Amino acid sequence: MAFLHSLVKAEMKRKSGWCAPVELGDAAPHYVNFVLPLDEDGVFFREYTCETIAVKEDGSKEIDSHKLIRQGEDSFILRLGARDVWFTVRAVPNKERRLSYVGNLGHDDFASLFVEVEPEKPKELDRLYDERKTFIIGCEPFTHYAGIERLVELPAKPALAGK
Amino acid sequence: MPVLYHGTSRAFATAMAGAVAVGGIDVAQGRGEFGCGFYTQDSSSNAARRGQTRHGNSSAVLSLAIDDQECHALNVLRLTLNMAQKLNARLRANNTQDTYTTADDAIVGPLVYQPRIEQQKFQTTNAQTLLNGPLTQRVVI
Repeated sequence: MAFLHSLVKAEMKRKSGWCAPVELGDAAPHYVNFVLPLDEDGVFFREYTCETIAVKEDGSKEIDSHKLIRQGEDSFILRLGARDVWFTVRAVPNKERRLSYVGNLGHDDFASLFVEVEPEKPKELDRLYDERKTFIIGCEPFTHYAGIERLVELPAKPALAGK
Repeated sequence: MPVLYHGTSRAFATAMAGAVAVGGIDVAQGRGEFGCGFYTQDSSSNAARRGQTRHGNSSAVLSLAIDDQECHALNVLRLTLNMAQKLNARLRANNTQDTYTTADDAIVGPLVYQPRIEQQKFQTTNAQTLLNGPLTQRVVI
């Protein structure tokens, strides 16, 4: 099943499209967009896999898998227990509506065109994180993206202020 | 008390949190849509997602709860979405995202590509002193 992905808009190989934040290194922006791949006919799938990550007390993380289900033309619902999170297609200029993946990582969905979606109530996602230390990642990149290991920086000593 | 978030690696978050009276935030280290500085945002979930997409399971969120009075005493330049878009476009065109600063303690405005979230860029020694001092509660989540 196709995934919801967390990607950022970038220009790579002289082409504008989506890539994973880790591919941009320090130039990665401070936002991450939610995007959905389209099927070969250029329409949304009926449902997508959507992963959430729960941060445990000891800092470890637990990935859980859910379904993001299409409702109508351009709305999607994610049910997390008693909590419903709605996503809708983000209004953007036509030429930016369907963009391809332009990075260098591997995933079955990266052959598709992507459309950006956004949570209807962004504060709901913050409440989920603040109350349950859980956030929506869509497709956890370090688990599912081929080739990502070569982009991971070696642990460096953090620079401290004034040093 | 405003609470702001910065998604990064756990190692960096821990170093920046530092001790109660002495944090390790360096406003000369970061870069972003408003130029050189230390960036935070008001969305905890977006900060967590940003950290995860860059650092995987070694990511964390640094939460900063800043004393109201001291926070409002900062000299802040506030940008509308249009102003933020123009500034970002100018910095990208001039390739000055690593170096651009102003005399203001902080620049606050919407994320250009996710304007429902507000970002804050801290850029002076004055702001750094507040963020690293005892009037800011720094917690690694």
